[in-house]
Amino acid sequence: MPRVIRFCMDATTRLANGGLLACRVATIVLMAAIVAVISAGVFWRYVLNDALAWTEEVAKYLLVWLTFVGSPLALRTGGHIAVEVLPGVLPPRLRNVLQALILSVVITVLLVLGQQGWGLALNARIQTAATFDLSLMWVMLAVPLGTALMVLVSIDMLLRALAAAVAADPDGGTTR
Amino acid sequence: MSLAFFWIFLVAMAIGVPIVFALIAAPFAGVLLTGNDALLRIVPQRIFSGINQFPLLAVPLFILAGELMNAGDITQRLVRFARALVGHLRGGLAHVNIVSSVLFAGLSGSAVADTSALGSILIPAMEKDGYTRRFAAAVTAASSIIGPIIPPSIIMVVYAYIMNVPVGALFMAGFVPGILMAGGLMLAVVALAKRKNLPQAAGFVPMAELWIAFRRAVLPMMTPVIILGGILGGVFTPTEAAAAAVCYALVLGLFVTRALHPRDLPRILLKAGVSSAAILLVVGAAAAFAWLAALSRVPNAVGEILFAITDNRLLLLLLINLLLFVAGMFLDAGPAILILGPILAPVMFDLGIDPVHFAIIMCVNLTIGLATPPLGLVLFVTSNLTRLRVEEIAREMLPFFAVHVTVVGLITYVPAIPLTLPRLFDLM
Repeated sequence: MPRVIRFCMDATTRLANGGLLACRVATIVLMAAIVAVISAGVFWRYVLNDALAWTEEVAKYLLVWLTFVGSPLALRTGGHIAVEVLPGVLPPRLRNVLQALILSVVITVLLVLGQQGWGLALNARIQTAATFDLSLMWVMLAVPLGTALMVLVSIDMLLRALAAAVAADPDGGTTR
Repeated sequence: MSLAFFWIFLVAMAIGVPIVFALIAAPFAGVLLTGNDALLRIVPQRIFSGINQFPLLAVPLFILAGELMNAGDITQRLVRFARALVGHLRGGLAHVNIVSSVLFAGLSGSAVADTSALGSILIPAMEKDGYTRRFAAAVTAASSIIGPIIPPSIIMVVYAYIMNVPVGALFMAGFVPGILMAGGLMLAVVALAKRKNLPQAAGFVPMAELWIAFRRAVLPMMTPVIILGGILGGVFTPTEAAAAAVCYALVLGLFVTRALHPRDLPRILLKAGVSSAAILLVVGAAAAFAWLAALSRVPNAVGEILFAITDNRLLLLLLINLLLFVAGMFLDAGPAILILGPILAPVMFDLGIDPVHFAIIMCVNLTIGLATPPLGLVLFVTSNLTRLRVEEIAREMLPFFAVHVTVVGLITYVPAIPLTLPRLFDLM
C-alpha cells in the first residue's frame, strides 16, 4: 500500500482514538455526575427538607451529553445493533465492500445530523435553562459534537474496510 | 406525505445499517423528499427533546445498578441460593438457572445483562455436571428473558415514558407473568428430563445450609422491594428509585460482600454509560421517526388496515401478537416499542383494552423476540459465551419457545394474570 495512504490512515486512526479517549473520560464523569445529582436531589428533599430546584434539569442535560459522548464509543465497539444477516452470508471480500457501503450511509446521515444539530445549537444561544443561568446552546452542542466524533470514528472504520476490501488477503482486515 | 421514508428505513436496516442510523436516515429522507428543507432542523430537535427527559434517567441508573451488583459478587450469592433451593430436582442445574434468572431479574432490568452474568457462571457449571453445552445455552437464553419482565425493567421504563403509562403499574403487572414464565420453563425441563437424560443432582440440601445461602442472598434480593416500595409508597420517582438502587448496590458491594473495589468503578461506569448511550440514542432517533410517522398518519392507516381485516377483539389481539412477534424477530425490543407503541396502542384503546394490559402484552411479546433469530441479542450473547452457532441454540430452545408463546397467550386472554397485582395496589 502506498506510503501516503498508510500515513493518512494512521493519522485518522490516531485522531479517532484521541477523540474516543476523551469520550471515555467524559462518559465516566457524566455517569458519576448523574448518580450524584439525583441522589443529592433525594437527600436534600428528605434529609435536609429543602428541595433543590435545579437537580432534575441538570440531570436531564447530563443525560443528553452522556448519550452523545457515549455513542461514538458504542459505534466503535459495535454497540449500535444492526441486522447482520446480509453481512453474515457474504464472502469476506464482499463483506468488506458492504461494510464500506454501510459506513458511507452512516457518514452521510451523521453529516446531515451534525450540520442541522449545529444550527439548532446556535439558535439556542438566546435561550437559558429554566432553573439556572446557562445558555441552552451549551446543552445542545452535545448533538453536533457527538455527531462529529461519530463521523471521525466512521471514517476511520471506512478506511479500514476499504483497505481490507482491496487487500490481497481479505480475511486480514477486520472492520468491526 | 408518502410512506417512502418507511421503505428507506427498512432497506437501510436490511443491508445492515445500525438500526439507530436507519431510524435517523428515514425522517431526513422523508423531509428531503417533500422538498421542505426547513423541516430538516426538526429532526435533531426531536432527537434532543426525545432524550432530554427525566424518566429516561432511570435507564442508565438501572443498568449501572445491575453492573454494580454483578461486580459485587452478588450474582454468585443468588446462584448459590437458587442451588440450595432447587438443585436437588432432576435436571437440577437447569432449574437453578431458571430460578437464578428470577432472582437476578429483581436486580437487573435487561435480558442481556442476565444472559451474560448467569451464563458465564452456569453454562460451564452445567457442562461439568454432564449437560450438553447446547442445552445449557438454551436454558440460559430461554430463562434470561425473565429479566425485563420482572421489575425493574428498562423496556418498561421506555414504554411508560413513550406511552404515558405509570411505570409503577407496569412493574407490578410484570411480576406474575415473570413467575409464570419461570414455572412454565421449569415444567418444560421436567418434561425433557427423561428424554434428554438430564443428570440427577445430589439429595436435599440440609436446612441449615439452605438458611445460610438464604441469609447471604437476602440483602440483594431486597433490591426490588426497595425500588417498588419506594415508587408505590410515593417516596421516590422511578428515576430516584433507580438512583437508590445504585447507592444500595454500591453499599452492598463495597461494605457487605466487599467484592467491589473502588478502582473497578471507572470501568463499571464506562460500561454502563456506553450501553445506556446506545439505548438512549435509539430513543431519540425513534422520537424523530415517530414524528414523521405521525405526520404521515401511519397510525390511522394501520388502524384502518387492522379493522378492515376483522373487528373481533380476540382475533385482533391475536393478529397484533403475531405482528409483534414478527417485529420482535427483526428488531430489538427497545426500538420495536418506540416505533410500534405509538402506532398500535391507539388501535388497542379503541378496542377498549386497558393501557397497562396492552403494555404488558407488548413488552413480554417483544422480549421473547430477544431470544429468536435472526436478530436476538440474547442469542448473540449466548452464542458468544458458548461458541455455538445461533441456529443450534435456537433449535435446542424450541420447547422453551412453546412456553414463551403460551405465556403470551395467557396474559393476552386472561387479563387478570398481569392486572390483579396493580389493581390490588390501586395503581390503575
